[in-house]
Amino acid sequence: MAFDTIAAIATPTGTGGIGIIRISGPEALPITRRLARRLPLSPPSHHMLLVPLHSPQDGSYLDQALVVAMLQPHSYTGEDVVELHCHGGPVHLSSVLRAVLAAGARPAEPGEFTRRAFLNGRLDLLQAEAIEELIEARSERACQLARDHLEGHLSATVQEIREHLLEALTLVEASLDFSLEEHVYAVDRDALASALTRARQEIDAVLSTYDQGKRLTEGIRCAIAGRPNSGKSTLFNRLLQVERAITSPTPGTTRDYLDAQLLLDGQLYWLVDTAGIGDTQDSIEAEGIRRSRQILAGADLVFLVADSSRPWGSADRDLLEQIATVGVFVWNKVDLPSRSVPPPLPEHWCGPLCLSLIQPDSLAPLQAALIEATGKGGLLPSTESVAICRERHRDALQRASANLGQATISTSEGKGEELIACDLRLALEAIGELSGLVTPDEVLGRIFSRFCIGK
Amino acid sequence: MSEKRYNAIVIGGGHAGCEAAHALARLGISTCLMTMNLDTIAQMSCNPAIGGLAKSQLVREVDAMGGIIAQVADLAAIQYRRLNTSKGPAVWATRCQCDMAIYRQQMQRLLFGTPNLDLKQRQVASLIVRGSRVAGVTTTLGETFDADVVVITTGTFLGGLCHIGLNRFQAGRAGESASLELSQSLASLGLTLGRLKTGTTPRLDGRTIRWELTEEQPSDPDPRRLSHFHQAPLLPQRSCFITYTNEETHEVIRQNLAESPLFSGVIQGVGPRYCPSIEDKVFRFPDKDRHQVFLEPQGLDTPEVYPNGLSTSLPLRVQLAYLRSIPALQQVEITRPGYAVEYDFVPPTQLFPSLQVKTFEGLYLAGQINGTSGYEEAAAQGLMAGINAARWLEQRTPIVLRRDQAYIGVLIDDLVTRGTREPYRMFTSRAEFRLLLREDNADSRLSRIGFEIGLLPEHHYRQYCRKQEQIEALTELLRSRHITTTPENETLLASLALGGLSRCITLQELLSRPGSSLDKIASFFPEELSPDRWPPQVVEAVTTQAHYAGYIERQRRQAERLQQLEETPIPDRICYAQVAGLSREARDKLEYIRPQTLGQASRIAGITPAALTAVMIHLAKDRRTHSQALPPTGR
Repeated sequence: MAFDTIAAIATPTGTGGIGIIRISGPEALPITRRLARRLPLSPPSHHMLLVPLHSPQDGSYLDQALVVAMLQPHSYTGEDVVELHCHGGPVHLSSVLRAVLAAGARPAEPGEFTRRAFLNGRLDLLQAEAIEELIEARSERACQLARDHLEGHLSATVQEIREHLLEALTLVEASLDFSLEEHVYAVDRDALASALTRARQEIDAVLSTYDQGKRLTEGIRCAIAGRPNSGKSTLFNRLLQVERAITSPTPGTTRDYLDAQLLLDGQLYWLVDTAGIGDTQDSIEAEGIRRSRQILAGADLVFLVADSSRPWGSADRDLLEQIATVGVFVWNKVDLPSRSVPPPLPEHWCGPLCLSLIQPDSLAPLQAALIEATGKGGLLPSTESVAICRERHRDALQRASANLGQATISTSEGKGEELIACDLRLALEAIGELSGLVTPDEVLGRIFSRFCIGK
Repeated sequence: MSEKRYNAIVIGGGHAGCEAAHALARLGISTCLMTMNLDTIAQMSCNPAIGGLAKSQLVREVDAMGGIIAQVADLAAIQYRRLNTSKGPAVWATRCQCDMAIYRQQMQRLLFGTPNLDLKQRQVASLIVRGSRVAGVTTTLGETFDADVVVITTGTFLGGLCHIGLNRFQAGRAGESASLELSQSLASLGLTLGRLKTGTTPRLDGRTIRWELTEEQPSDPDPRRLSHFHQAPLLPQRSCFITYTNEETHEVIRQNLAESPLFSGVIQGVGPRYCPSIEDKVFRFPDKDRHQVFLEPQGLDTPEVYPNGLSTSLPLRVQLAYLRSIPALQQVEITRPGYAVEYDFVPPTQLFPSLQVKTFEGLYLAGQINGTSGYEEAAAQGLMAGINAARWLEQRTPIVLRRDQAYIGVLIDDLVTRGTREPYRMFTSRAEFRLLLREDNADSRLSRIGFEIGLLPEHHYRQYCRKQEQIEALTELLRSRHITTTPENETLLASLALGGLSRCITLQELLSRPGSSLDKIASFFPEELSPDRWPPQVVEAVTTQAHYAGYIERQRRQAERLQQLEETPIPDRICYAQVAGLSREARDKLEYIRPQTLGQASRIAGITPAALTAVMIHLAKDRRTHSQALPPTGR
């Protein structure tokens, strides 16, 4: 047999009202019948039947379960699939699964149901990847991205790009293979160059969403920076709403960075509390500062915390100027006597938030500012556009873009069509890695339907 | 009792059959070519030309390996044209108009002069098979001929049915009977047959054409021959002439579409999209107000003319009416009516890449029977079928050319891997390594193979080696000579429109600049680069290499990457039902095609990268179990 039959508990571990065991493969029905003897020989597809389950080994009663058979090819995996909707509870479900395995199934490997769905052509590669994204999504926004992919938005965009490239290739190939035909016209170089440029822009538009898409799935990296003892760790704890970092009035309390996840407005953030940046003779503290600068350089967004009770000096100004990403300026300790006014902020800054971080009511303005800065920094993809979040997609699109760039140059420099075709084909091949390959027959078919060819 | 025993029998004397028979005999196999009519050996049933876009590459490849189509075409050539010269050298091609009668005569002379080869006028009725091996043939006269291998190259003759209007008659070509029994014999052996259609134009009496109303297309002044090795004496050269259909022509056709067997549904075979009949063109592209017609001479001593572009199966009176709507043809007389022919073919996915039938050892098919069209495609398959039949007899591995090695490789791989639903014609767009497969380098790709298998004569191989040496010498020279940044050089470059000099460059670099040629850069080293020192083919090869330098390198690397797949064999023992993770569709296709390598598997229509991965995983497992299963050898 090509496939054996696999089974696994499909619902998460833990107690719950219902727990599902999924069985897939050619033996799914016979195996089920060894537990559920009252199941009809050929149960209707996609119908739930209430059937008692008994152990195939000793006949002991296991559960009263809702059994649903989904017959191939109309199932998730494309094979016969049976689901046993049992009562929840990890111990109980494990014993039912053991009974299923005793009846002839093999425990499924992680992701094996989806892999089978893909191999059986039930999902394209982009969709199979989307399911993985959906399962692994850690925030509402990441879920939404995965759903977009699953629904086929990315596939559709890629398909559209492919269509445009194919159209260009058709013209180029026709001019090579049918140049002697009266009704095949020479390639209009300007039109071709602009078609190629347009296609490249479409690819680059998708490519440019990579960083944004990645932030949806992996979170926005948010660094908390400032001079020593300005209240960074207090801000960290405030946003997390737990006393995670040690705070004290002593400057240099935080010597190494500390990070934690924060879910806000359906979006995942990685908050990183860094060591205060200042002059120091202490070598450990100096190393901490070096790390702080590193984290600042890699951050998507920065909270800059300044102590309003101390004078705003050149070191503060330097730090402010070094930060190129979107930032939130926190003018802390306004409950203390103020020694200066908040500095003027560049365009890409939110704030100043004048507040006292030790006060619980500072949470709401911080959260609002974080959401505002996320929007202002363009850190997330716009809701209208598709976004990519996988290295594999970026790599293929980058190659396609580069090849297309070469084809565009060749087109405007008057190089031979055979060279343009060469690069166009490579671009199509790269796009094809996302959505399926182009065959020569496909190109010829287009030529014949478009041009009157033949002597 | 058999009449006579041969090692090999070739059935059919068309362009595939001639190559196959010649190759077999040259390789030392006692061979008999059987044809229904010895006089029509190497008949050009359709247009009187050899070569053309993507096709002259095939012709040059056959020639480079030691085949005969190019040398015979050169002997019969009455016009040469180099095509596509406004494009890059990778798609340059040569077309050669031939005197059809001389072509036949020269081919017949060549074959009659080939040792080990008998030619016999017989009609084969059936194949004799023993078990799963072919054993000979019987003829319609009741004779039996024993043979170890049989190559079938029957063109359009299997179950041939010609149509002129709604009249139809069984024939393989107008005026020649079809082969009906052999078709049945093949079907009874379990081969699946399909049905294709092709068409040809009416032939015209040139004395009734008003030539002054046409445009002349003369021969190239300094023709480039098709063969690498032969310099045939040049026959007198003839022009072709161009005229056009017009609205009236189209109206006549539209009025009479009901009498076209194509449109009335009488013809069931699938015709070629790239070679539609005139009625097809008028019907499918109503916005075109004219279609080009090439008036091609059929020979030096005949007034008959082939009006290329007017293939038709309309009734004869309609053919005459639409022809006469063209001013230059107002008084024209038809010598032979145009017709469509439907014929049986053997869908070529039933063949191994050696062109041997999968289910019968020793049985090879080549040419139109495999669903192709064109003399050149036929010759290429005939050559490979002949070579591989000979090698099979000697228990050698077949020669299977790769897709990055030859158009022949592309052709045969497409046929046996993907099959075809219409008559298959070669196009350069079918070749993913187009820049490597050029007319100018067919010999450097294939002549060594041709020589090593014993087909290419030694003196031709030496000729090839000399050319290669000269190419290397010239390349070396261009690499070692520099142009320094002197004002004189700057001026000279500017006068040649070859750009400026920012640094010292080699002649090789200069040659790769757009618009550059050896002629132009010769002014820098007039002595060493003198045209007398370097033959034109050598200059062409070196210039093309320079022109494509970076791209050729890239395609070569790409080909090398794919090579790994091509070189991973799939053992015969693989049972696809046991390959985990294959969809039913993929399983069925793999089981049907039974690809020889992973590379071939990857090109089967509908085989996804996922399916390929599943096969690869299975192969790795299979290798493990089989290496474990080997008994310990003690070594």
